[in-house]
Amino acid sequence: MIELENLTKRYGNLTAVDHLTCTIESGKLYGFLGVNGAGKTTTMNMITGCLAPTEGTVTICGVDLFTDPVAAKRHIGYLPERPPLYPDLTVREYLSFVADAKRIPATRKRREITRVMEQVNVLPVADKLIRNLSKGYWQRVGIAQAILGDPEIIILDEPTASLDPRQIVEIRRLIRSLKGKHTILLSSHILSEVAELCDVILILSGGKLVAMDTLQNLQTDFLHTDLLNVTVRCAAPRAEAALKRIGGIQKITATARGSLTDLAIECKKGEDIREQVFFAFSDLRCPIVSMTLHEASLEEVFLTATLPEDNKPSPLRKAPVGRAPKAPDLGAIATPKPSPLKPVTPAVEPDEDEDDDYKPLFGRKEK
Amino acid sequence: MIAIYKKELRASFSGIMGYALITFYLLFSGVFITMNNLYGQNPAIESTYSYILFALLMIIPVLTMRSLAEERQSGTQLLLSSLPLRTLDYVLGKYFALLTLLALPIGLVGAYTVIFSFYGTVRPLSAILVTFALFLVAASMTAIGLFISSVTAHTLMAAVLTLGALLLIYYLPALVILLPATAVGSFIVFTILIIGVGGLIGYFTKSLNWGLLATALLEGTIVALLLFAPELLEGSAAKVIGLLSLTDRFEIFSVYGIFDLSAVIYFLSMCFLFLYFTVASLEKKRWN
Repeated sequence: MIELENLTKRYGNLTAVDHLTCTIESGKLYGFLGVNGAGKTTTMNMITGCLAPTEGTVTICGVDLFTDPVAAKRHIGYLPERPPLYPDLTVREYLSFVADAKRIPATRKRREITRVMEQVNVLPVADKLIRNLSKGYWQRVGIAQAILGDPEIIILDEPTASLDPRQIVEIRRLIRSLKGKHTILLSSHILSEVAELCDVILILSGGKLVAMDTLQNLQTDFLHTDLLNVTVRCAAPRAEAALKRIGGIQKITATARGSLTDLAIECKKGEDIREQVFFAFSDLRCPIVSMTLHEASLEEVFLTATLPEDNKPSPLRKAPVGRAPKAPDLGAIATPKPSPLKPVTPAVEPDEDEDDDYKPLFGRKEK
Repeated sequence: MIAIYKKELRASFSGIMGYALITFYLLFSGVFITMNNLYGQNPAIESTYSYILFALLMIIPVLTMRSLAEERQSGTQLLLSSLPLRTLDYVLGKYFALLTLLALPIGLVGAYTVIFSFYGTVRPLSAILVTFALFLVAASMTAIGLFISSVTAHTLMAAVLTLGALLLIYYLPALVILLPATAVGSFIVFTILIIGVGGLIGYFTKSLNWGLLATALLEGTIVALLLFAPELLEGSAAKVIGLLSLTDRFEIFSVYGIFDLSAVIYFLSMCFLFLYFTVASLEKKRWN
């Protein structure tokens, strides 16, 4: 569907996107993750033909984007970070313009505009000027123009940014409804959103693709231990001694709290030791007050994947990058992981701007 | 191209801008027509066009400042770049929409000749041709404004620079008189021009080397002329810069009533040249 081959963008000495190679398959929802300046927007702008790469190729549905841009762009609908709207037009006029630009035949145009307006729920404001609408509606109109003409690929750059919680839920519902019918590529800073919506997650760091896989596989590949939090009514040394008999435990941290002991048990990824822990304390007749298995979140995967290279825990097995996601393979390997929720200082990158390439001949660029 | 053309026209008339500019043009030309044609009892509208030309100097920067600089400021440039359109399509779409907006008041004022014909002797063909020439001057100025809008960061900056450029072109016949007539004076003027041309070549080719090479070649020619044939340089700066004047060429139509085909070709060349620069400038930004 989309093939990126050695896609690179350099601004002088700064490499914003560094030899990115991957294949986006049809019908799936892909989530782009990365810290600010990781190259997400630059990559999206290159995929949509808004920006030309320094090196590399983009092939959309078999058409090279840079040799036949008009044909390639017919397969794409793009919603940039800031909805690209004309405030002086009504919603209907705006969509009519986009339909004309996408060369939707006149016989289909009216029906198609009504369809997308219904889909994104903007029919009640169809004849209002865009300038008079709320931010939530702007975002919906932006999505409407992206899905107009039913393109195979929809690219959404932070579609829920700066929306209120209700609008976020609505936009997510809308994106979910598009899943399957279209190939969707979305970027977001909200990890829970990506975890909830996306089939495949791509993590960019310093312009490089450091991971591309399903959430489940990323959890296995990047974090190799699970954390079990147990609170038990017994002394800390006794509790630790009881756990020594259980295999697969890699580290125990015990903290006494009055008559209780809080235990943080790191064990092999995918190895559920809760029953063994229960029976170990049951044999000692020490009541367990609480027990929670803390599964690795996308946040931890993200923080680990975007660690600067010299800070990466060793040996850390990286997820296979740039290929289609593999089948789930739980409990694959056992290597020490960094402490969960360890604060990470991401590599300092210059802030990415959607129009980073633009150097005006006159006047300074607006920040 | 048609999609952009329709959108631009719709946007111009859904706000106040289109109406305001047409009203300004009609009022401005109305004042001069009242003074020159009505009070002066002169049925030839062509003679008033030299004054009306000044109205275009005010309108065109306001019209063109929004066209490309605003797309970038508001982020809609990304939409246009992601749609299946060629850069040329949307530059032409915008350009023709601007020309349509200008053609309305220019045509309307041109039609006053029909009213004048009831009260005096008019030369209809001359009136039509001079109106056409005025439209061509407007088209050249619009192409210049569109180009400036494509290289500036802000709409206001685009307006100020376009106004400056158009005023310079308008007053060029008066300004060239001030240029030095000596060979050394012309050499200095040409050197400044060559540095500007070299800068533009460097900007468009994104290569300092090409800019320097062009500057060196042109400057070498001028130095050679200064050393071996200084008489050729005497007064040449004023002549060469005077060739750029749009107003001089327009006056061949409006003052002398002559249809000058070379002037028409000149106006059309200006349109093509600056539209080409606009497309090149937008393409360059994408590849930057």
